[in-house]
Amino acid sequence: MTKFILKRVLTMIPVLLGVSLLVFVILSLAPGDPAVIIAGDYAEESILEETREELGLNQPLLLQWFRYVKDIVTKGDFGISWKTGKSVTESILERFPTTVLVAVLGAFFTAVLGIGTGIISAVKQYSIWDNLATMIGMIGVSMPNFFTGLLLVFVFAQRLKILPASGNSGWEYYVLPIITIAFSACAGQMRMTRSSMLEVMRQDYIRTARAKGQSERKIVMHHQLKNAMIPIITVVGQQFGILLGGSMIVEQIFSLPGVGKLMMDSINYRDYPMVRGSLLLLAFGFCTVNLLVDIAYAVVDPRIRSQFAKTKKKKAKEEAA
Amino acid sequence: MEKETLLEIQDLTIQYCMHNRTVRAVNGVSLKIQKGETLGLVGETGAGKTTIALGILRLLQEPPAKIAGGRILYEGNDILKLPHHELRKIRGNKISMIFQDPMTALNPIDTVGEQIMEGILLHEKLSKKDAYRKACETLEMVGIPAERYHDYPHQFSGGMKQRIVIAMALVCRPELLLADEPTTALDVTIQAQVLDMITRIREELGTSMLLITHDLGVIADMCDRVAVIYAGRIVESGATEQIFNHTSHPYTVGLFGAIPTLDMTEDRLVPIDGLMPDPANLPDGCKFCPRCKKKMAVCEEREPDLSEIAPGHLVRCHLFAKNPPKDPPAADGQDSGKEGE
Repeated sequence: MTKFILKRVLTMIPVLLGVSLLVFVILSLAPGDPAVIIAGDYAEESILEETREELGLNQPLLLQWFRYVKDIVTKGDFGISWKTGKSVTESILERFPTTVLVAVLGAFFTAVLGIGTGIISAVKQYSIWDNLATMIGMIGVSMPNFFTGLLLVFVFAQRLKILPASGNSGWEYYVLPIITIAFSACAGQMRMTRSSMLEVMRQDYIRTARAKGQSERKIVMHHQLKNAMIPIITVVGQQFGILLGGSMIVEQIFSLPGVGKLMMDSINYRDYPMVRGSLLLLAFGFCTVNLLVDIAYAVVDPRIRSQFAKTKKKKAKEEAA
Repeated sequence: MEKETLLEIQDLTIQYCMHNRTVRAVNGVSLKIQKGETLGLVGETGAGKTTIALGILRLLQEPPAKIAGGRILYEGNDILKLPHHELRKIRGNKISMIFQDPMTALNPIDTVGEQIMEGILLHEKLSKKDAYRKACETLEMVGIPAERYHDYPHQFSGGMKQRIVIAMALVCRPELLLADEPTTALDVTIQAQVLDMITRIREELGTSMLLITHDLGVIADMCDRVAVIYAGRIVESGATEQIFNHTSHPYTVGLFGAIPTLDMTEDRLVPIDGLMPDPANLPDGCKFCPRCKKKMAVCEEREPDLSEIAPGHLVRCHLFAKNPPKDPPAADGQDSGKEGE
């Protein structure tokens, strides 16, 4: 198991290198000259040139990328923000806790709501509850985040005045963003849980459990849900990974100072080091979550677990030989 | 001497209702299983054998399945009318079932020991420790070392999985075992082992059994009585010797013609021509009539009742219905003849 995790961590390196290179290429293709933004629209050509020289924008792209990677690897330095002059690492770390909080809570409520309604939908297939859950889920998934968010702000902040519209100076500031996230994401979770549960429901071992005299509740919660878990975990992981990179739109709407908002502002300002840094964080978050998901598979399913054990046994055999 | 009846099925009718058609899987089947005996239920694929077994424990997926009529009497109670919590006390405890396919009958994410213990904890007031011990004993009983309690189903071969399924079914010492083609998914050498084991344990525990199979050899080996089922109807039933030595119904005769014998050199086996009728569209008269070599005009018009041609030997065929008894004695016959239309 340890070996597997180590291997997976090592494979993250080429992924992150690839991501950083891609980001470099795409940013260089993006319209707009960072020097103009930094020095101002009316700056003279000589000043612009100076700025470009200073930022290293005149160097070949590959060389720029190589230096960037070298700085990260040797000094842990992700560069300095062109906008604020502050270290990228510092700025991101400053905002990361907010993003993590939103991600964890958002993913948690999405999972609870999605899995819960999914189970009910599957157990009471074609019932009024199933149809109702599907309908609400469909509304949620069809309404874009920014629309849901603005609607919630309008109703709860402007009309009812019971929740704040923006900021982050207390728990109540997180209620609306998290509802926004959960409302749009839980439909996918619900549909996945429902179809996965329905598939398991028809398996022979469910009938076996029933033939033993097991109660319906235990059959659903133990035999069925545990077996249906793999696709469910995959979706939970995916959603968490996305949220960990910063939920850009939600953070923007509710003015939550998270990484998503930082990335958005940096893109607008052509603050390339900041964009690169936050995108790398997003990629890293995704890789980590994927690894966690894979480990969770092994925890849930003994068949996957035994694959890890097999490599261990093989190793032991090799050592013995 | 009349033995005590353990389970009596009366006029059981089960249908599968799809949106545009109704499949009549079981049509008025009556059976009796006595204490300690093994009743073989034989018939080809789709004849309704499994549906009957699942119906007894009410394990059919409803809908689409629907038990449209009949009674299943166990200890004087109609299983079909029992409330769910009462039914659960019977399932796995008094009546348990061995399923056809051991590959899929075990939950892949629980250890086999846990799955055996689940039944014990449900029906017996034992501590976890005692239940664990009993589960280990049961594993040993079916010939699997108790150390393998903590292994998962995927770590076992097919034959071993079936042993585990059997252990699960027998752990609470049920009075009746429903064995639904317990060896169909296994290869021949393992089949013999598993059947021997079932016989041995059954004799030890004094369990009655309903053995579903399409293998006449297995029937000859293991059953006291046999019921032959065709298109959801019992066409012939009686003691095993009666069925084997005085085979009467043309369908049963056909079944015997389709298996090779050792004392005759045969180039080709004789299959029964044609296919079983579509259970959604059964013929009016005798269900076997379209494939029967001895069919008469009356066969297409009217379905024959069961006639008793020897004590306990019942046949549903016009050939034997010359002097149909008005009220066939139930004797130790399992078919009460109520299902005549």
